[in-house]
Amino acid sequence: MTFEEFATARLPALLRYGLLLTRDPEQARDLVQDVLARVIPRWKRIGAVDEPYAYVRAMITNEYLSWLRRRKLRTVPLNDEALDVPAAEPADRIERADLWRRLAVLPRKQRAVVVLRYYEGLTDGEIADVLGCRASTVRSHASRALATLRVRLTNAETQPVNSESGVS
Amino acid sequence: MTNVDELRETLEHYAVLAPDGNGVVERAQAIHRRRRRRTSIATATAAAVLVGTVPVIVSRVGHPGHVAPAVSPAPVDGGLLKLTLDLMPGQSAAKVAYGRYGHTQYMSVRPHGTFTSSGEVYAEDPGTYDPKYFLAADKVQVRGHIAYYNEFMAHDNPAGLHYDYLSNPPLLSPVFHGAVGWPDPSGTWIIVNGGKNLADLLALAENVRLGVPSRVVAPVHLGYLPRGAQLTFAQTRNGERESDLAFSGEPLSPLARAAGWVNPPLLIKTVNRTADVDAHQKGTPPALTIAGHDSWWYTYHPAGPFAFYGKDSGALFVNAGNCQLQILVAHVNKFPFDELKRIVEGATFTDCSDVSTWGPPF
Repeated sequence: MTFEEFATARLPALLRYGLLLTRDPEQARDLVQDVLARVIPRWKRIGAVDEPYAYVRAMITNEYLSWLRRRKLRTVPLNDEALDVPAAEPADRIERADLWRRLAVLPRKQRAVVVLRYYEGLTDGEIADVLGCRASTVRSHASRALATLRVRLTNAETQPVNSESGVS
Repeated sequence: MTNVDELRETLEHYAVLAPDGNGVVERAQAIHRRRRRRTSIATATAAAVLVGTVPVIVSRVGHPGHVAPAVSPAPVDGGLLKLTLDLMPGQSAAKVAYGRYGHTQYMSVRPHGTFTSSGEVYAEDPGTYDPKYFLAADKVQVRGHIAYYNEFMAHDNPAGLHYDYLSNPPLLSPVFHGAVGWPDPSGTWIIVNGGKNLADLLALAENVRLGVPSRVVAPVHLGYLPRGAQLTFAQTRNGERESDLAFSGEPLSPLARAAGWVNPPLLIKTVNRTADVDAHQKGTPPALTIAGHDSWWYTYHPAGPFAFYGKDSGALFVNAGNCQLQILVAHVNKFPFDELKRIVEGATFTDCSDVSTWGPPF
């Protein structure tokens, strides 16, 4: 697979992931663009790994978490009115918008854990690999994030997602 | 209280707001090409410098009694802080970042209130810009004056991307890279890049002016600078409550700096302390106190957060009220810790969260 083929196939997914991390379309575009500029010279190696998408997603995550990343602009805040999608029921919409606002106050690492776990569907072990930490640390971040978001876990969710890699 | 399914639905619901991919890959390719060119130049330069430096190193080793020269406050080229580029009156809130590097003033604008444009605007000092790509392009009208429209211009380096696109046409979807430029009566060239199409671009250009002189402001006033610190880049980022002052390096554009092409020898950055900012020092007790401020001094470690700044780098972080001063140096032997400490001791701060309290940094 060439870099162009990869980009054509996976760019929308990468941008969606970037958007959920940054909550800002302009910053998401900048983030993905900067990472792809670093991917290009390494494509021979990255394109040969089992899951190039996972590799690039990890690069995006780390770039997002880089505390010296200084993106230039803060742009239009996203809200439900900006969505060009079928409107939800008012009560659902208010609840959803409220949850989206609460996501904004999470520290970056917690937000990344939430997005990787609940949007990308990664196990805690896989998230730990991306973040370069232990699975127990991932669970700790997730627990704090969910408390801030006031999200209630079901019984199934309280079990370690990937206990085999959850060694701490 | 909500549940995990609703959290998943919320993420999926908002993910559709992701930007379209138009231009992302092409821009990444352009950044890569320019970075590669820059790296080859830097490698050649480093090799040349190394050849000339070896005898000096040997000479220094042979004289252990060498004493560093006394330092004194350095004069600052205040011209770099002066700006005339602006939006029309009443629209200043849309200006989210502005500053100057070398002969170029710039500002980034984003929609705000009734102002709906988005883009980057540059003003090149008289006599410093070669407008040949504009003069050969189509003529358009901006506020009744003749301007020029070139469909293959990039905001950070118009001529550079023009060449890139001539030799390496975009591989994926077509993308809008147009720019409008015109000369001001003063001889300054104004270049506007933005919008999704020509109509958007012209709407933005209509709102640009060379106005009353202003200057870059920061939440910090620096009473001391090391000898040899020459200001090369200054910017205020209203949107993010940050300011950047770069010294003694090549006057790179904001995009080049953001892409990490070259780290300036001395970078003094001031940020508004937020939970995100404080999280980085959380659990790490301040190693020292400077002028009453909690401070952290980091030297190079291959796995450390500043590895990208080079093997000789150092970083001094200082919490002062609701500001965090971040001083990064590429070579601690050129700007040693004691000098950075003196910068902090001579610094005074305003309210980092309120841009209206910011003033000239020197």
